[in-house]
This record gives sequence, structure tokens and C-alpha cells, in this order.
Amino acid sequence: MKVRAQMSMLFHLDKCIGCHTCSVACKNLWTDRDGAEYMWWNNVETRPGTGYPTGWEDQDHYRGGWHRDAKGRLKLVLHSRGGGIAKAFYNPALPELEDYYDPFTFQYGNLFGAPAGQQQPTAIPISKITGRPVEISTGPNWDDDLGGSDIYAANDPSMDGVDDAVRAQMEEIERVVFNYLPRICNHCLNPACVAACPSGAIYKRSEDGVVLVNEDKCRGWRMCVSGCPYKKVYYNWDTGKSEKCILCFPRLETGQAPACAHSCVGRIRYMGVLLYDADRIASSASEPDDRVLDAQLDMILDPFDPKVITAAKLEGIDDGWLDAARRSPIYRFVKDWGMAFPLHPEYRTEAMMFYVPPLSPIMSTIEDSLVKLDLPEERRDFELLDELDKARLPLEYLANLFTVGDTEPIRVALRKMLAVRTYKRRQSVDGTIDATTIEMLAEAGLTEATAEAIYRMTTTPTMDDRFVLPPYHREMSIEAINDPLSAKGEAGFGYRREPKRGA
Amino acid sequence: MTAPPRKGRTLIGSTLLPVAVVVFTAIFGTLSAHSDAANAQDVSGSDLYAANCAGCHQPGGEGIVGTFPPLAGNPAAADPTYVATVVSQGKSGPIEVLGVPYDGVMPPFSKLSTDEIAAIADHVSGLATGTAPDTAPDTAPTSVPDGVPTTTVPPEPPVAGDADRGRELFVGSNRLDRGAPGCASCHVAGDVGNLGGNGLGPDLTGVYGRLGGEAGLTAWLANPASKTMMPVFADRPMTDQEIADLVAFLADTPNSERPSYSADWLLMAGLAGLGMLLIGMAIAWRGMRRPYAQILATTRRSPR
Repeated sequence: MKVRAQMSMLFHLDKCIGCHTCSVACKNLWTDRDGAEYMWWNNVETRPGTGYPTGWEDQDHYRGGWHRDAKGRLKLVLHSRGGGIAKAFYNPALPELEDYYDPFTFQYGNLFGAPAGQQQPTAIPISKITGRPVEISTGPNWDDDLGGSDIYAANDPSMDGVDDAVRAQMEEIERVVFNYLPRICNHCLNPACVAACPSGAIYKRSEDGVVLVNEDKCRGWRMCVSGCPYKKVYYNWDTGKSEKCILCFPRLETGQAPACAHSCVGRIRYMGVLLYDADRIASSASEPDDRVLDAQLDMILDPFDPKVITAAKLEGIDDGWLDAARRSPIYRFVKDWGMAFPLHPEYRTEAMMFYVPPLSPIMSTIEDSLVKLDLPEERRDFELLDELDKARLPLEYLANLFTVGDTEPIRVALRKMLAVRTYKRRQSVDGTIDATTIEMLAEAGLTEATAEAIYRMTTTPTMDDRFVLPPYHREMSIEAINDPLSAKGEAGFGYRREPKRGA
Repeated sequence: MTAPPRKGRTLIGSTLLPVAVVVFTAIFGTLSAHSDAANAQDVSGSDLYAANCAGCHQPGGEGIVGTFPPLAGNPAAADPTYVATVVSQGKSGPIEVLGVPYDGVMPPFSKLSTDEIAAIADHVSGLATGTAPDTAPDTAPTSVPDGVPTTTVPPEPPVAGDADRGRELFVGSNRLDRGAPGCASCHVAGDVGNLGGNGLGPDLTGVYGRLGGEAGLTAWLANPASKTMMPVFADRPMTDQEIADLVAFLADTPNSERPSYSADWLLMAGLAGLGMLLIGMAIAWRGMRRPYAQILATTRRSPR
């Protein structure tokens, strides 16, 4: 057992309101620079849809992630070692700028500086790259709130496997449904970008598992861009280097949650430490499709287990980190409650950002201009539990996103969420808990105490509950080599050293 | 809403720095040039002659018959004005001196100042009239009989040259001792110089004969007088051994035949390669990816 710590984020999709505050916070902090205009290290996608860059989940097209070959070995989808050399100067699987979008702004100056005329001046859209007027034809989350759009939603690769009849229903206007999927770099345990990089410029920090691009070593081969199945490494055309989400490590090191999590309006994001067994990365990533999710979740170690604690200390993980791991909200959602899953575990990168799948309303019909639920009036709450198959977001769809097509873990998670809702409604509306409700909790695999804990963590967590950040003691390691006073007053924005092209 | 000027710091760095460099170079360059000129006035005509003219026209002005016209006893060289004109403007074309025809090229010595040229002209007219203030070397004859070839004595004891070593120096596989570039940088000679390259300077095949054999070529190489070679070799002349080796090599060049490469053949091969490249690119570009959104708008993807 080789214990390592990983800073993980959890997205409670049931709470996401799709406001994009996270994206804007990240944009303002990190990617408001030349060459980074088109990058959204954090983006929020409307689902079903094809996301950003368009169709990133279609690995037949983008060739990201890993696959398991006939002998059960793990191979990059992008290329073999020899093939990588052959295609070094022509990487055919790169997304193009059109796959992201031509970044645009508006000519606001024209509103004030336009010459006198017959018409009101307008702020026409102009390209952020060339400054010339552009016809905006795509953008990050172009299909915003367009549930069931016949181009983007209809072509969502995660809709594969959903019954044709259900798909046809979903395209009816009354049954249109969408949810939001915020995405950042998954800071994977088995990152394909690291494996694809010919320069060895990408690495995973040992202390907290943040995957970083060394801008000094990066030679701009861009194999990481195509290697990452989540398309979360971006090429900066101004510096000639690749960049990606850094999990706001400068904020983590000073005890603050990442900007996207900190600014989250719906408070859907949680941060915490997970301990995992690094010895099992290779074996669990090469499990067959039906076991790959379980194998990944099994790798996450119990921070209360004395053996794990001993092994962790041997690896230099201090008590502060172990304490944070024990209080980690991620551990509770993922391991204790089994309600959260990584995005697309079938890419075999062992993504370490987790998602609580969203509940969706039950299908309704319209009779005599009245909306009617497809449920009997009596005991509706309890029926809901058993009628998850009638949820507007098909379970198959969520399973394609989070559980390699297996609907059972999704069903279990959604039942727990519904059970907690019903339980709390009984408690707050009726004032009493009847035996049927207790029975329903038990069926969902919950006790009253657990239901209460899930409720607290979901609805009323404080900042400290949501963000359990370990002490990095970065100030101590910095003071050991640098005099902090000598750098005082030099903090600020910009590059400490300008990244040189090809340097 | 205006964007801030891009790379403001780099802009300042890229304009101000070179300007400063130019200004400093100009100031110090002018200063040093002045000091050079001041020094040059102290140099006598004979020293200037030895440095600039003696390489071809020989220390005593006896020249090399058939290649470099003699100055001693040459009636034309007795006129300092004529000499000054030739030195400052150069001279080329057929002339006849003391009954011997010459057809060579003398480059203009534009780096010499007017004072220096006047000093040289005085010295040369002294040589021509036999009243040079400096004593010419004992070996130099004061007058040359008409039409009779003179046996010129090399200014220094001869050094045995080796043609193989000369070839290595010529092609540059052995570097010249004082750091001047190898001959093949500009010249071809004999079988050296494939693919018709190195056409910057003249073809040196047969230069041995053209420049008057061993003595002439040795003299030339000891102080190359051409406009392009002079600055290259002025500060880093070749050693006597190197000169002897090169002379031995160049003497041999007319006997070897250069393998011929037809320029037409090269052109055809290049065009054929270009054509194949274009065809290959056209084929590759047919399979170029379209933006994903465009694919979606035209064709619905089929489920896996």
C-alpha cells in the first residue's frame, strides 16, 4: 500500500442552477490573457448536449483517454509509442478553434464614440483575436438551456443506449429536460495528458495530486490536448505552451477554496482530501468496463483505518492532512453514502472530481390543458421512489455519464436523495415520522441519523463544512529557503517569468 | 474599451536597447577611427607600400613578369598623381609595361586615406625613378632590361608545400591557423566544389598559371589584394606553410576533373519532388477534419 493524498472536488448537480459564476470567476482569475481568450478551465455545459469543445465526449473523433486492449493492457487511444513519433509533427486529433469557439467581445467603445447619425449606435460583436467584426456562430455552452435541441442534444454521445422511444419523447416540447454539468480538470490519478506528453512537461504533484503543466518544459507538441478525454488542456497560441486548470493551488496553499468553488452561488461544490492507494492505479485502470468504476472507488482508502493511517504517515502525510481526510465531505459522499461518481470512468483516467447525479421531475402528461403526473395521487412520495424510471432524465443517460452505463448505482444514489427529501418533508410538514417513512429510508439503505447527515451536508453546510482544506504549511517551506520580506510588495498579476516560445 | 498595448515591456526593450547600442557604437567607433588616422600619418610610405603593395609588386617594385607589372623602372609609375589615381580607383584591363603585356585586376584601395595614398605614391615614384628614399632590398634590381624575363627571388626562403594538406585547408576540413575561413567558403577549384556551389569567388582551377606560378601565387596569398579577400585576410594572414600547401594544391588542380552535376538534372529532380509533395498534401488535405459542429449540422452521428 502506497498512500497518497488527493485534493478532490465534488459537484452536487442537484443544486447547480447553471449561473456560470464559477466560469467567470475562473476566467477573471486565470485566463483573461492573450492566447487564453478561448479557454474555459471551468465551464458549465447544458445537458443533454455536446458541451465544450463541441462533442468532446466523442472519442472516435477526439481520441482522448485510455482503452483496454484485447490482452487487458492499458493503451492510450491517441497513439502507440511508435505512432506518436510518426505523428509528432501532425497530430490529427486536435480540436480546432472552431471546435471551441472564436472568442468574441463587443465593440462597446462604439456606443460612446460613434459619429452622429440617424440610428442608435450599437456594439457589434468583434473577434477577441483579430478585433474584426464576427458573426457569432458558436460559443462555450452555445446550446445554453436548449433542452432537446435537434443538433446538440440529439447528438450527445451519452444518449447512446437510451431507448429510441424515450429519446423521441424527450424531443417533445413538453418533455424537454436539461441539467447542468460544470466541468474542470479532473486531476486524474492516471492522467492521459501526462502519458501523452512527449516532453515530460506535465506532472502530478505528490502532495495533493494537482496535475500541472511545467511551462518551462512544455514544447507545444499539444499531445496533451488530444490525449485528455475531457479536453481540459488548452494550447495558448500566444506563449506557444499548453495550459490547464491548476485547481487554484495558490489559493489551496493559503487555505482558500478554488475560485470556482468559492464563488459558487448554488453552493454545489465541496472540497476535501481523499487518500488513495497509488499501488493500485495501473491494475484498477485496466479492469474491464463493468468493474472499472468499482475498482476506482475501491482505491480510495478509509482514513479512519489504523493501517491506512500508519501507511500514510510512512509516506509523509502529516496529521493535519489525515485529520482533513477524516472530515472530508468528498469521502462521505463518495464512500460513506455512495452518492457520487466520477465523470466517465470508462475513459480510465481515474478522474478525481466527483458528481452527485441530479434528480429530475417525474414525467408528466398534459390532459385537457392540465399537467398531470404519471403517478397515482395517493402516496405520491413513495411511488416516486419506485418510479425512478419515469424520471425525465433517463437513468441510462446519467449512467452513461457517471457509471459506464450501469443504472444500478445511479438508482441507489437517487433513491437515497429522494428518501432524504421525503423524510425531511414528513418531519417538517407533518411533524412526525411514520413507520412507512422509516421503512422507506431502510429500503434506500439509510438510517435516520444518516439521512439527517446527508440533509445537513446537502442543504445547510457552512463554508467550513463544504471546504475542508488541509494545512499545506507552504509558508514554512518557503521561509526555509526564501526570505519572505525580500519578496514583499512584489505580489501581483502576470508572469513571474515570461514563458518563452520553445524555451 | 481598449485593450492595453501588447507586450509593452518588450516593445521598450526592443527599440530603446538597439538605439542605445547604435549610439554608443557610433561614438566610440568615431573616436577610435580618429585615433587610427592620427597613427597612420606617422607611418612612412615605405611601410605602407610593404603592407599594401609589396605582396604583388614585390618589395623592391620589381613585380612578377607577366602577372604583376613592375614599378621599378616603370615610367608611368614615376608620376605620383597617376599612382595615386590607380591606388585609390584600382586598375584593370590590358596594359603593356616595359614591353611585357599584362591583363589583370588591381582593386581600389579605398580603405587608405588620402594622406596614406600620397605617401605610397611618393614612395612608388621613388622606386620608378630609382631614387627611393628607403633602400630597396639588395636582391631587387634597380632596373629591368626590356623584354627580358627576370628571375625573381622569393622574399622568404621557400617552404615545401604538400598538396594533400593544401586540399584539407582548401575544403576547410583543417582550419587555417589564424582563423580565416577556408577557401571553399567562396571558391571552387579542381575537383573540389560539387553541385556547382561556392560560386561567390572565381573558380581557382588554373589560378596557378594565371597568377604567375609559384612565386606569383605565393605572393598573392601572402597579401591577397582583391577587394573581398583583403579584409578577410588582413588581420589573420595565412602562415608560410599554409600558403606553400595551398600553392601545391592549386598547382595540381588543372590535372583533376570535377564531377559534373547538371543543373538541369537538379532542377528536374527538385520539380518532381515538389510535385510529389503537393500531390501528397492534396491527398492528405482531402481527409482533413471539419469542425465537429459542422459535422453535426450536416450529418447526424450514428450511435456507437
